[in-house]
Amino acid sequence: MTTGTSTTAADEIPLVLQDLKKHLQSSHGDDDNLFDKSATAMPVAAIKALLGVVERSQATTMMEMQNELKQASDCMMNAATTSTDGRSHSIAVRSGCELFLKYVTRTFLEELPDFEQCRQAVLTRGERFAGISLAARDRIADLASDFIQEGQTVLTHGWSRVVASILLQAASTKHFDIVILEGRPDAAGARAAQFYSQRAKIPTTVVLDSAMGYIMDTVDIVLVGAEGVVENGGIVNKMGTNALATCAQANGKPFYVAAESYKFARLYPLLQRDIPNVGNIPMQFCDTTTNTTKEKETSFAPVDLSSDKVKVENPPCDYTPPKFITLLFTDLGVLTPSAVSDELIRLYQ
Amino acid sequence: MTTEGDQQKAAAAAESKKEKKKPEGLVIPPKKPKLSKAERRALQEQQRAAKAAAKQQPEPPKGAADPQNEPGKQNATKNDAGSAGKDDAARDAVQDKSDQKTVSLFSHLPPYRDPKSVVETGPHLWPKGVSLPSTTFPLHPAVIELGYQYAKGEIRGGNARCRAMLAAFHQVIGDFEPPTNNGGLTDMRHQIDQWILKPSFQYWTASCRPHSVTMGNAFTFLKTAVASLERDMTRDDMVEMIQETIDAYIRERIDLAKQAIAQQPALQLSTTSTTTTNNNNPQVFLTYGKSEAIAAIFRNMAASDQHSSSSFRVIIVDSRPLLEGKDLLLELRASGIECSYVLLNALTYVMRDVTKVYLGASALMSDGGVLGRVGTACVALSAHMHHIPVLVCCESYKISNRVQLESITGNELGDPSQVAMTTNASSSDDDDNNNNNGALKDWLETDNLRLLNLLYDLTPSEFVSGIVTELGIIPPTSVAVLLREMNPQN
Repeated sequence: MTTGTSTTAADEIPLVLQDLKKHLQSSHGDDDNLFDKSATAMPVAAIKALLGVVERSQATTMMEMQNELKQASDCMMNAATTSTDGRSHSIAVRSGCELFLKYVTRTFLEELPDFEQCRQAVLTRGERFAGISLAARDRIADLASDFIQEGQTVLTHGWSRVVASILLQAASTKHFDIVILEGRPDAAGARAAQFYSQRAKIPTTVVLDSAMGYIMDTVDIVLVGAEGVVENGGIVNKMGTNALATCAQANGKPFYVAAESYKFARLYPLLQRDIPNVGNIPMQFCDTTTNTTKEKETSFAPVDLSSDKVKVENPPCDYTPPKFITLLFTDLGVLTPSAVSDELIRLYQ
Repeated sequence: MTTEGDQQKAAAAAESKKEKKKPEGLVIPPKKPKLSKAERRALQEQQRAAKAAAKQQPEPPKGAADPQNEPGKQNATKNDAGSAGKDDAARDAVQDKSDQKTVSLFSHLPPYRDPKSVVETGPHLWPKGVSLPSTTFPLHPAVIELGYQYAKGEIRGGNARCRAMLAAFHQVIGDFEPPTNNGGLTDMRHQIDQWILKPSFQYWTASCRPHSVTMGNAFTFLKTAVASLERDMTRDDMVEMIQETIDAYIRERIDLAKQAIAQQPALQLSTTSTTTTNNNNPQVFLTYGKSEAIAAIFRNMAASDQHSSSSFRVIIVDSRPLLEGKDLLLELRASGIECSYVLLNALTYVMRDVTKVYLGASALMSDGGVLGRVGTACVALSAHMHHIPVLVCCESYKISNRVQLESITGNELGDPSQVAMTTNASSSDDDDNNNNNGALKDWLETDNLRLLNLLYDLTPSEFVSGIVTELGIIPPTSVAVLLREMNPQN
């Protein structure tokens, strides 16, 4: 590698992160945009950022280009694992990056006449790929809304744009109820409940996370999104999903997962601790039944744990093994968990 | 196949299917007059009927050129005049006796062959010095030697057996000179196939030890490779080409595959012991018996381990009669890995501490079932009950396109006398020091006593969390997909 390209690669690192942030800005800027249908998903943002790398790259050979891309994706993955906004982005970034790298390799293998043409092919097709996010969600909504029938009760957990689009589409033709778990610690469930009840006018009930066993026998189906879908067909999703899935199976309720295919990651967790998690996010524990200040409802004195030798463990995600999952709704179709790995083998072979 | 539902046709179809799958079972000896397929089939049916009618009847002596030592199977009408007929009859008598000693549930499996009988029959099989008429070609000494090693158990394990087979073919094909008197077989590809590949494989399989799935896969590959050569190549080019193909197969499908398995990112210690809680506790891995891939994984872990050797330890579970785990134990100790060695009966005791179970495999069925050394299923079941993940590590060339539901249909019988050796290690007060003593000493003479030494068992896919191949970790349900993706022409 020449010295010229290596300095570019070094400059590349902050640039990639800036790009990533820029592409994500629309979705994480404010709450209104969180529910915006066109918001960019994490893997797609990562792919867009990598496209930027290809655009700026001065590489003259395929190896150089691949090295730069590899560096850039490592850098994004590092940034994602150290971010502490309560969601595990590392799997999403990882799946996006791996998909793009595989895709670049494939394009290079097509024996286009010269390197420049390869680069152009990568760029044009990559741009098309970026538009996939929205289309995938619509397709999933089309496929999955039929699984919700008139008069049913749907239990969901956390906030997922795919789940939202399924529920909205289903609500346009039939009546059903939503039960949503509160979603500690970021109250994602509570905020989703606002959205479903106010914007979509679906009757919505919010229960505590710990009430999932209590509420389970009144619901008909369980539907969740996923941060990532792993190779054996299991999913990584907001903390509590594994408990929910176990509970659903014990009660004989179908457990459905909605996820776009770009969330498929080449990970094979066997145990909970195998999933890449960010460290502990500090959290507070309040007794919300007794109002100590008696003035404003919002001020509850947290239980002080700082002096005690109590360890607080608060990872954002857990892993749900495939045996608890009934079906996955993806833009590749409605898949059984075992079909996920078939698709992944085909994708990466 | 059986559109009309004609029973006979169905039987014939089943017959031909069997013939395709297990050519070793239905070998036609080279000296026999050539029969058409239909005639052969008729003959077999007749033989089967004869066998059913008179099972205990002594058989007429067989020809010396008969490569098979399978009594009562299809020898009833074979009476090519032979000089060694007497010996054969005596041998058959012995074989008959051990036949009666097989457990009836497993009587469909070929009986265990004493390596001694292989030595006795080996050199007679394809008499040398015959002026190479039509279809006879003497077996290469390397083939016979390897056959003996197979029978004796000197070469054991799927990888070793396959590698040895390919090495033997490498040598034999290198030594092959197309004879001038070629008996009408002018195409060298056919000569290699008919005179080297087929008879050698049949000799090993029928006379020495049933072939493993690895050998079967490699043999099929080699046959296809030979058949797809250009017809008008010179002898040297052809030999070189075949030898290169063999070397590449050994290198890519066995050796490099093993390395790739060991280097799977998901198996590395840094990723397996990440995050929060249990970082201080060392990982405890459990394995059973011996497997090249697993040894490679642990050695690789030890080599890449920054925190001296304390971040993981290995429990090796072993069982009689082979005690193959000892070899693994020595190998891992040589790499400085902390090991424990227990026998299978202590499994549940050690299972509590285990974080992951790594198992080797002889073959992988296309439904995700794992054919492994007998005892593997027991370990996997126990781990499953304890909710400990079970990873099966095996190279992708071990995938079989068959499906097997239990351990009975496809298995292999080992030497029953190994089971009879019940000498207790601690019984120093025993008066006779003979190794083959104890309660089962006279088992051959005892009525109604049968010993069973099964070599393999089948682990159902429910007990397997993942299969580690050189292409990555896949769930057992995806084995069929891998098989399909690897052979796109089918």
